[in-house]
Amino acid sequence: MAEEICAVGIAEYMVGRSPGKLVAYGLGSCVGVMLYDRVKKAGGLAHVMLPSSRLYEKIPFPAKFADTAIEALLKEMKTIGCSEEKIISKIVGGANMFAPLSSNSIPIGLRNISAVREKLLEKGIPLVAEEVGGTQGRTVTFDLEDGRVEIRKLNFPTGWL
Amino acid sequence: MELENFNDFQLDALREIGNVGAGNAATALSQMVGRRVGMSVTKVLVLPTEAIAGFLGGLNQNVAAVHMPIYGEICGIALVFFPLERINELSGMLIGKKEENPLHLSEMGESAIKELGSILTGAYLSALFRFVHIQMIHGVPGLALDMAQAVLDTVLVELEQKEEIAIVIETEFLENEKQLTGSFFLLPEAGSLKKLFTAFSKSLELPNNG
Amino acid sequence: MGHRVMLVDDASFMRMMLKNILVGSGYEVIGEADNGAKAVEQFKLLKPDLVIMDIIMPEMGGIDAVREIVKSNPSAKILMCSSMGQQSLVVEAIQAGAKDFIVKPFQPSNVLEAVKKALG
Repeated sequence: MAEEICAVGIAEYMVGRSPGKLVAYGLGSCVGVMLYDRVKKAGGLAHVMLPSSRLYEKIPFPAKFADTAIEALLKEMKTIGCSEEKIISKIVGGANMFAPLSSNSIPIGLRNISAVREKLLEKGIPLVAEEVGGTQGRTVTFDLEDGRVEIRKLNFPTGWL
Repeated sequence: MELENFNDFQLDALREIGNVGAGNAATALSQMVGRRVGMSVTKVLVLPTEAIAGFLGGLNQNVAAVHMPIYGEICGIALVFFPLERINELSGMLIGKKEENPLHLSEMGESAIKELGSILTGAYLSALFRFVHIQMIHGVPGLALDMAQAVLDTVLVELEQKEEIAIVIETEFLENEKQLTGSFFLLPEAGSLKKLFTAFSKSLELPNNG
Repeated sequence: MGHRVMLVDDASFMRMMLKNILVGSGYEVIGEADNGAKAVEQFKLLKPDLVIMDIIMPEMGGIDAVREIVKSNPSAKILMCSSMGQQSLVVEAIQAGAKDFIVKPFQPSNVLEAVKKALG
């Protein structure tokens, strides 16, 4: 039986149950946030673009911002029966691919990583693994069967979380 | 942003821009490599960014991407993509010294590729300018060797837009039987895109039906 | 009289191309800079007969650098380099004090002609 692989595009999120995989292709400065309930074998992936929704009035895509993305993931995971105490997180991405010419501002990739970590801490969700930063883009495949995350760079598998 | 804003007449005009731009680009490339470079079939499209990876032939082609900010009356980002596996060949032609590994270009080789991307961008933008008479200046180029999708991801974040429309000009360069495809993308900021469409309609003396 | 030229461009590749053209015709490249701020500094130290300056650079661009250099050296001879599509900036550069311009990619004959003309 073919296993379902669902792509999660930029500023999108998806929640699902095992069996199945969620994939975020080409995370550049974006951060892929993965939440997993290993008891329920269910989880979600958000493809986060920006750190904070604070200055924005309308938010048509909750996964666009770190804060609203994590809230959205949690909310939907709870509706499929996940319990917050059992949820763990893994994050990937936030690279600085276009090195800034004037290094006066903190690169957006790093700001995304900080914002995601902060929100996870605020929600009391343990961050059990991460591969973030650097200058290279990453593709992540999140396996809902066991919560494993495969990372690819330049389309070549480089490791697991 | 509705693509129907571009009617057939305007798409023809875009194609003409593409041809002029590609012609400029081939001339520039010839001068840079010191050999005659011809160009053949070009595709000119207006695409939503989620269609770009598919257009490049596969969700995650590895590319050498030269990226530049665009500023002036139109703001945004310009990109020139070359297939990553050919980049050491191209760099070698430019600097006259063989480069073995596309992932480890010499400093001079990287500089040459960035300049090539910058000069090609100028070639396409000046063709566009002839039609729309809008000032677009391309800034300092950077180089990323990565998956096409990751480059686009980063560009969308820079523009803070989930959805973007890109003007795409794909050019096939031919040097001595060898082919190299270069893809040029102009991603205007949301506000700028409207300005571009309006200028387009005006230049073709068509009412802007929107 | 061998003429002393300073090259300013953020692309080492472009500086190399220009150097090859100039040295091949008997000019002396006495200094290089990769941005406008360094160009202004180097000009003070080296006092070249001619500067060939790129328009778009990080830190400080060519137009600002021209302005700075001409302020304290009104007789400075500066040739601007631009890409196709950046020529609107050339006008600004010339108003700031540059003598002439050349367009990338460089045709050796065009470069040498412009250099000869600028040096007078």
